[in-house]
Amino acid sequence: MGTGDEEYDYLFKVVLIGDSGVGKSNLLARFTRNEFNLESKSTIGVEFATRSIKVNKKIIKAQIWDTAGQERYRAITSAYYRGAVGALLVYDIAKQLTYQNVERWLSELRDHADQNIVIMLVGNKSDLRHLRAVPADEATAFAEANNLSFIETSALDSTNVETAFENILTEIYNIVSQKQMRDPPEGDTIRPTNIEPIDVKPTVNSDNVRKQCCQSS
Amino acid sequence: MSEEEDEGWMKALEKALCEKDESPLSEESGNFTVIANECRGQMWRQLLTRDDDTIQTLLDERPIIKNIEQLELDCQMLIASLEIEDEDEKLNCLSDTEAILVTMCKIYNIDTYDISKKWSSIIRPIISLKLPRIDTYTMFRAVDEEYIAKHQDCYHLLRILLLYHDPELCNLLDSLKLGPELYSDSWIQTLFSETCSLEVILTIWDLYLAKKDKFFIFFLALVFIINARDHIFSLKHQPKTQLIEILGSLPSQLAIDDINDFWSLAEYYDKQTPSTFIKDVAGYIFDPKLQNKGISQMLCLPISVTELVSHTNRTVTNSLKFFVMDCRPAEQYNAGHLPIAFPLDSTLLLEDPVSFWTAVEGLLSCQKQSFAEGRSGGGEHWCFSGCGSGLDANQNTHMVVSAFLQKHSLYVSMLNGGYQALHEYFEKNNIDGLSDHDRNRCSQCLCSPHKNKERLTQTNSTNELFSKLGVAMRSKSFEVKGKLMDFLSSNNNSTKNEKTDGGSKRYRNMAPVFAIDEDDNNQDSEDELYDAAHNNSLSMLLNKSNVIASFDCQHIRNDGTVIPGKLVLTKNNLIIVEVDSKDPNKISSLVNHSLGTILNIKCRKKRPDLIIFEYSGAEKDIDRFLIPQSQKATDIISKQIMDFIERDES
Repeated sequence: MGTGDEEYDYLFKVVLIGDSGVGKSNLLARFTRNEFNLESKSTIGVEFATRSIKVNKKIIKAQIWDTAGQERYRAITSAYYRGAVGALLVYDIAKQLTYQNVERWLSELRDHADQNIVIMLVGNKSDLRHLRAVPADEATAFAEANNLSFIETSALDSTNVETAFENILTEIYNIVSQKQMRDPPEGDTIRPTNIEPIDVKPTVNSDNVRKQCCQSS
Repeated sequence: MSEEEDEGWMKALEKALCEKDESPLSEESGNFTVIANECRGQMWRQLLTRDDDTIQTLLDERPIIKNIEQLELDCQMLIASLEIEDEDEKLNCLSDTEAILVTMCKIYNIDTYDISKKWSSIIRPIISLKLPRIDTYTMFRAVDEEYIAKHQDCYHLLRILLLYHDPELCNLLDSLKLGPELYSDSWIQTLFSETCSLEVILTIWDLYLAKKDKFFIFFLALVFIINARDHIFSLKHQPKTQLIEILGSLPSQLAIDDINDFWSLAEYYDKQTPSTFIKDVAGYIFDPKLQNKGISQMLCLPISVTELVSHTNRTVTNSLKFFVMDCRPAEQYNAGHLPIAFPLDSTLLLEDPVSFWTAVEGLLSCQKQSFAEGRSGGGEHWCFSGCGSGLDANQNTHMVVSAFLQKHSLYVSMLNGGYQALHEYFEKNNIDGLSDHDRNRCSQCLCSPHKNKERLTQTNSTNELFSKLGVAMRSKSFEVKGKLMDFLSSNNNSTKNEKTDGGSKRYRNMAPVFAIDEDDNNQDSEDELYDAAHNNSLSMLLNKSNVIASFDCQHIRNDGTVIPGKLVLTKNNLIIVEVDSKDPNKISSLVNHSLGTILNIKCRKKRPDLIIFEYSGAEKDIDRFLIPQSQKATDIISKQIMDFIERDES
């Protein structure tokens, strides 16, 4: 756990998005530091943390960007979607409005993120059973219709947090490694039939950022 | 609640200075002239003149207003609140108000009276002056046109100012989803006339209109919010509606005696804020015709290159001291940067956060040290500079700024356009303002290779501290920690020597853009007491045997300008010395107060370094100072005053 500089095989950039107050920062804190803060503060701009996990004996370093959900940061945060291979779209199961806004966040992703980004719909605060405003089967149906995976989590009692991140990272890993298998130098492997090709940049390309700066004049 | 608030509002450090003085409170208002109503009318009329071609409308036939009953009701309530004794006068005022509001509907081309515009509140102070209808109308129109914000973004402006001056409070309010639009709308939309008592609002408007700075309303609002800081933190678990109500009614607690302090605090915040953003960028909020410039989406206060350069050059009076962080990758920093800019490679935050924060810690202690020494470049105002403009180019810079704001750093701004704008500015003005500028490697030069090829590649040698730090920071990531720590630990001993080795002289021969280390003599001057040749020398004054103590201070003049100086305490006198801004040893003005004339020393809990001295005498003078370690200073001074009084009486 933590932010160590250990070796890794893959570096995946994942963004956390969703309305303000749905618990994105606490999901990140739970996953990367096993912390939870009941009195958490509104995120300013963006924050980021990393954690490495093992998938298929490969070490995957997840670089997770926690974006502010408030409207005022929309312009700034949407710039971070680019280059992300995964997105956790979070809503609050006890707040109907945050679920209704999922559509808006999806279109934000369509506008700013790479086409083949892996999206997981996350219904957070599953511990608030008595206040539930969004039925799980409704969200499941919505996720299926939109080709998203879906999970309900609770950053407060840790339910499914680990699983959610593991699932999305595994999914990304599978796509990336299958792509590598599909386009090996020799090109002599069995091609899986039911996998959509995906164009994923395995690392955040900091060179790219530098170049952009000079070209933006 | 209001009692507690009063106490927090102005915790007067009553030092029981003078028993003869029975009612210090009643004399507080002596500083600003209380304007009689007749004069006020005259004064406001002058301040609010404008060519108004709509006066004819006032005399025209009344248009049909759908909810005229509401309008009439509001007018009646307003007139009733003014408590006019004379019945005729009362009727006059009522019909004036009605006529004016109806005319306003006509001018706005609406057939419904819009309560949300709060016209009846705005007109209240004006109607209370009982001027002729035409005058009242013209003045009301002028206030509405000139001073009332027309754009919802005004609340974002207020929030950005709050973020600049109190990021922690701003973050709390953000977390509670309490935007300024929820509690400050009546402040901004009525210039406080809805929330404050008539007596108070008349005085505030006197000052506000005379200041002729419509943006000042935001600093006044800022004072209310920041003053209620502790209160807000203690109430954060209350229901939101209750919080909104408490916040919204903050100005109602302002008493006439508080206005002086209230005003000086607002001026203080104003002076501590880079001004270009407000005047250049946010100007549109007062003009409905201008385009939205997107204040709502800004991460923090932006600052223009021109303003940053003028502050670092000290070409503006009252320049703010900036600590500039260049967030570009190390190799770009090495190919050219602002001489006073520290390198803080933002990619490091991604690649190696631990080293990044170690570097930041190092920079923080360096900032404190150079600020304490008064070095240029060592400022309390942070300015982060990225590559250029555009969200993508500034991703990493935004990330760094976010991280600093998240840690509640005060005075955080971002350089508009980043290095690109800086580079353009210097090229355009043909100034050689960059350090280590290597035209073969500088990203901006490479972008426009046709320009200035013939100019020499020149590397300015800048302040030793900066270049040393630069070297430590340039070697990237993993080594940074060790190097920086080595550097910082050795720095304390080495700075003194560097100053005397002629480095600054060499610099001066190079026609500098940035007057770096002009202040270096600061330190030495006090060692050179005997060299003080002329009577204007501060050191000579300090060396006089009757000096008991002296304190560094900044004198805040009535117009808000801050002048560096010293408070010199002798056996019988307190001498206020202002020094030349360029030469801290040169006395520019000297005022002598007998200790017996000091009535009161006041300090406020919220700003312990702001000290107010009140003097007796016909003029009812006061002096305001910023004194670091004010506690110590006021203790010594008040003790000396007590001694003086004792001696005087015996």
